[in-house]
Amino acid sequence: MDTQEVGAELHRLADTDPLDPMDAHALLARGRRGRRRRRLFSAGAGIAAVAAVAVPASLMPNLDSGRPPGVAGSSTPATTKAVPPDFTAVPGVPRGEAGAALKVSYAEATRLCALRYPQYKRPIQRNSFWYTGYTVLYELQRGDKAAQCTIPGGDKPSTALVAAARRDPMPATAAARLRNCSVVFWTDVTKWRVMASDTSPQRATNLIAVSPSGRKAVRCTLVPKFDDTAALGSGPGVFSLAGQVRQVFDNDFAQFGMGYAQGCTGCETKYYDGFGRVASNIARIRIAPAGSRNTHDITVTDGWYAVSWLDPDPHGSGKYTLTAYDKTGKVLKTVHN
Amino acid sequence: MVDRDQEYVEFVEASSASLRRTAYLVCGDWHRADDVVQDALYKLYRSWSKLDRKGNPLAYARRAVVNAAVDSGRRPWRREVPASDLSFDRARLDDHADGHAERDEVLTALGSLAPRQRACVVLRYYEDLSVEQTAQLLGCSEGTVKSQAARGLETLRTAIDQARQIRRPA
Repeated sequence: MDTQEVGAELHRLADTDPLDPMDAHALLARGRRGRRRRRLFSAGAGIAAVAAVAVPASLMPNLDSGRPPGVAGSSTPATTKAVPPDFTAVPGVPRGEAGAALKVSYAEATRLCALRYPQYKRPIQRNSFWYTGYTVLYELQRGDKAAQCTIPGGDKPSTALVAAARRDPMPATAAARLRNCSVVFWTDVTKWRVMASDTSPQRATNLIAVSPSGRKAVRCTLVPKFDDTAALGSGPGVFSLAGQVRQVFDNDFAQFGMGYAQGCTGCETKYYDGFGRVASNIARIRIAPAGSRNTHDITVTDGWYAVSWLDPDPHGSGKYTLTAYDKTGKVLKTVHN
Repeated sequence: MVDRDQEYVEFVEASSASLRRTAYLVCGDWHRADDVVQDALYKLYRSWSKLDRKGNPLAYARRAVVNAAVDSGRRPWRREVPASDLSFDRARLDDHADGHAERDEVLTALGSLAPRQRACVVLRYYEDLSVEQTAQLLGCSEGTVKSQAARGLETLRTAIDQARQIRRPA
């Protein structure tokens, strides 16, 4: 068993966190209360200690229960204009992370797809399983156009949010990308952490983000013309990390973990596309297509990687080498497809 | 909310899960790990305005968490599996019968290490810190980190390999 395997075992243990995410606002409130207590105590010992208990709340305007600002029940000026929420609830699906990658029945998947895509009256295809965040096909009959449903999670995006995603389908910032991914999956991933991303301006941005609890992740592709469904056949877009195993960096990985497709119809350029997770000691991967003048490096963070690269050199043979480097730049391994 | 507080909230949201996982690997108990991290983040808030944020509040928080987890781990290390996890693990036994058994053995092997050895192994092979970073975090020499990590790793490897041999069908 080498150190990589030990590392992988430790990650697998650590990924079994059964507890809820920490409440950051409650911690903030606790920190503020601690700070006020120290200020009062520094004014003069015993009397200040009594005063800390006796001072009415009106003299401590920041004293709150740790609720974020704007929550109903906190005092806000009457003239404040109510801002419509970015997301509203989807009946029958938990909000946020709890509603992401949720296993549902065929009947429930059918209901959710009908809610999201009322324009399609056909049934969805029967698969082995259905999860929120998973894209399924509608059944095809003669004369039908192919259509698909990304089974929605519990956060329906507002009209304004959808419009923002359509106006800016391949944004440059992490915040805007997560906004658009939230619109694709009907799951609020705006507070998730982007672990890896890569962009080919002509083709797509691929990114992986992990939830605040660390229990779920989203693989999201954003394309130049906004598409409100995730790509078919790429597996569940939102998935649970429990039981996930990191990919071994070997020739099979070169074959399947980071494949390429024809860059455009009738031409020889290659588009490299993929996302996943490898060992944590890999900090960078270089793609070097045989016959091409170009190479492409991607940053790997805690094993997470994403690739979206169009090699413009038409002389690439389709064979390529992947080289993994550690954070000092030392070559760890080279593999081939 | 003032900018400083907003920064703190964002930091907690981004890092608390990962800090808790590290604390768990060092102290062996999810609830204790949660307590350790909450205390460390509370103390971090007290120093937030003094911290040089061009530096690394995560390094500061990790140091507080690991040292507190090591101290808490000097009490008998025990593996607690919450009831919800048991049912979750049972549901997956059909798919990954070996996976569950292996995970228990890794946990047991980790628990057999002394707290500081365990911290060295976790920081070096889970957090991927360098020898120098690990030494700074634990407040010991690089030589100590190397020897503790090497011994801890060896113990872990031996325990896991032995357990695998015992389970191998005759």
